[in-house]
Amino acid sequence: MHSDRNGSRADASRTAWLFSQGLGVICGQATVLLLAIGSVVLTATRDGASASIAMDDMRAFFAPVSAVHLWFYLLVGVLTLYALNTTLATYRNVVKKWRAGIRAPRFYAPAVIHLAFLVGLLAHGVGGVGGAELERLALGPSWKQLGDGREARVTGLEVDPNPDGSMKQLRARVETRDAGGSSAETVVFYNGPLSRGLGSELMLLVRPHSVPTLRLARGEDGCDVEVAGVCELGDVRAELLYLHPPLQPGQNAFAQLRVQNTGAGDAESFSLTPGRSKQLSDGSLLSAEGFGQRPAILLRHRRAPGNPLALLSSILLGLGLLMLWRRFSPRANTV
Amino acid sequence: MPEIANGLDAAPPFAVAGPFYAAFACYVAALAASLVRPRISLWLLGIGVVVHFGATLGRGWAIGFFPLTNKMESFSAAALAVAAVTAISWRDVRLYIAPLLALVCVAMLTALSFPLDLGFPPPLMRTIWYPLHVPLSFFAYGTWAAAAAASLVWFRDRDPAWLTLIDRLALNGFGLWSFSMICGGFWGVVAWGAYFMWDVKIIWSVILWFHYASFIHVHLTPSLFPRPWVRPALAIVGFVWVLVAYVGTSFLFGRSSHAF
Repeated sequence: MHSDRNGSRADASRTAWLFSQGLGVICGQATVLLLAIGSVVLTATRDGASASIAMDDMRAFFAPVSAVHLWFYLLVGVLTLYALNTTLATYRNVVKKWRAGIRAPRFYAPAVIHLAFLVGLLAHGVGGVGGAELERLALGPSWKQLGDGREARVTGLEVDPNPDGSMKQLRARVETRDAGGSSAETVVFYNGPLSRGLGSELMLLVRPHSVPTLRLARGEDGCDVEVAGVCELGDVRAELLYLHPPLQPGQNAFAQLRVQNTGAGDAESFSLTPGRSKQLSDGSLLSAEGFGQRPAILLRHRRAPGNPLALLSSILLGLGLLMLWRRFSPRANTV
Repeated sequence: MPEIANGLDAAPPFAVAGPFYAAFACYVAALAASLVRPRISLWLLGIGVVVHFGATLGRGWAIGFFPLTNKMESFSAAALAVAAVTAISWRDVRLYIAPLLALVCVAMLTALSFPLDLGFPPPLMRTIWYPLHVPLSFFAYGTWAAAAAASLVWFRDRDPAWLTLIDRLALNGFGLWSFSMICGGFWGVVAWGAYFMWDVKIIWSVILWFHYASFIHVHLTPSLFPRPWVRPALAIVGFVWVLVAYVGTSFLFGRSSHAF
């Protein structure tokens, strides 16, 4: 029994360094050093070994593994040790305070900040491994797939100018609808992306754009549709697959369409030149009345799974610092 | 009289050069006075801060936004933040205030070396996160500069009261910097889709956070109790890192998503 206690004490002293403040300080300064080296390496090799490293991506550091990025591999190890040290030290500290009967929230502020740090590291890991830059999307007046199960279209575009004529802000009214048919209207602008999942899916405004469109008419219904866009003409859904300009002067441009009657029947695909009509399977006439240009917006589609965790980390960090407010007050005895 | 950008012809006189030169003159006079009569120096600094703040407000009024749209305004705001922190944390000790006032003068001189043209901010700057992110970071820089200046005094006098001041300034700077990084992160997400990028300015921002995070743990580390010089030394090193993060990443590294 006695020797067991001595043994466990010896074990505890062997692992005490993992809980220590000293290890935290060493890891912090090692992180500073490695990041400083990394900043120089990344700048020096931006056109070489670091050319593929963009945004917050971490996969590029391993594709391929390079001696140039040794600082990063060491950084992953140091931060792992830092996270372990922070977790163990914080847990022990919280348990100690709780058992001592300390209940005032401010005494747990450091633990909240440490938790923010751990969640922040996790956010970097998740975002760095799972983030992706997807295809850009020119969004105009007809429905387009967003790539996340939703469709969207621009229903209005306003440019707010500065007195010197430069652009102050661009606001695009965007209507979205999901597979279930429920729709919503939102405004997309610079610093106001179309966001989903607490920022894990973002469609960010790049710049205003214009798209060539085809004017379609079916009976009394009409619409302007752009390439890869869909418009609805009563119970017919028309998708513009392709729009070819005239190959030579004097020739006609033509459009390739896929038309589906939402009531029944198979989709039909056919080409149509402006000024011509096509009789659909239900007997109605679909006319291509001409080409045009419609205002649109160019969007960057970014998948950023680390953003919700970063948001949580920010909230915890802010909360922890606010809980520490007494320590920031200027009442301490100084010179 | 500086050239005024198109559309800003109605800019108030306070938005253009005169008041900035007046503030600079006050700062230079404060620096000179700090070497002989620190008390007078505080008054001169206070006048400089008020004039400088008014001139900055004038520029903001002229462009209808927070006036941080170019290098001139950035250095000017940095000078104003350091001047304000110096006034708030004032001590009648030459070795403490003279380096801070010299820093204010250098930052202001750098600001005045750039064109003073007024310009409208690009659309990506038009968010609440930008005018929160940048001033908070400049106040953190100022607070850490004060910690480094206090460290010089500690190395001379070895008075524990200065250690307390260094600790408090470093902790306050860490708090300001953390909120600045939170705001910058929010801006990054809504503007670029990421709160972090492998960009030198952002990497150095993270470096500053880690440096001062480890700094505030030093006085909790038993093995470092007998080495009180560690914190002042780290405060001075930290200020060097501040200079790299603020000036070095824009002018030495060359490639950054941050123009200034």
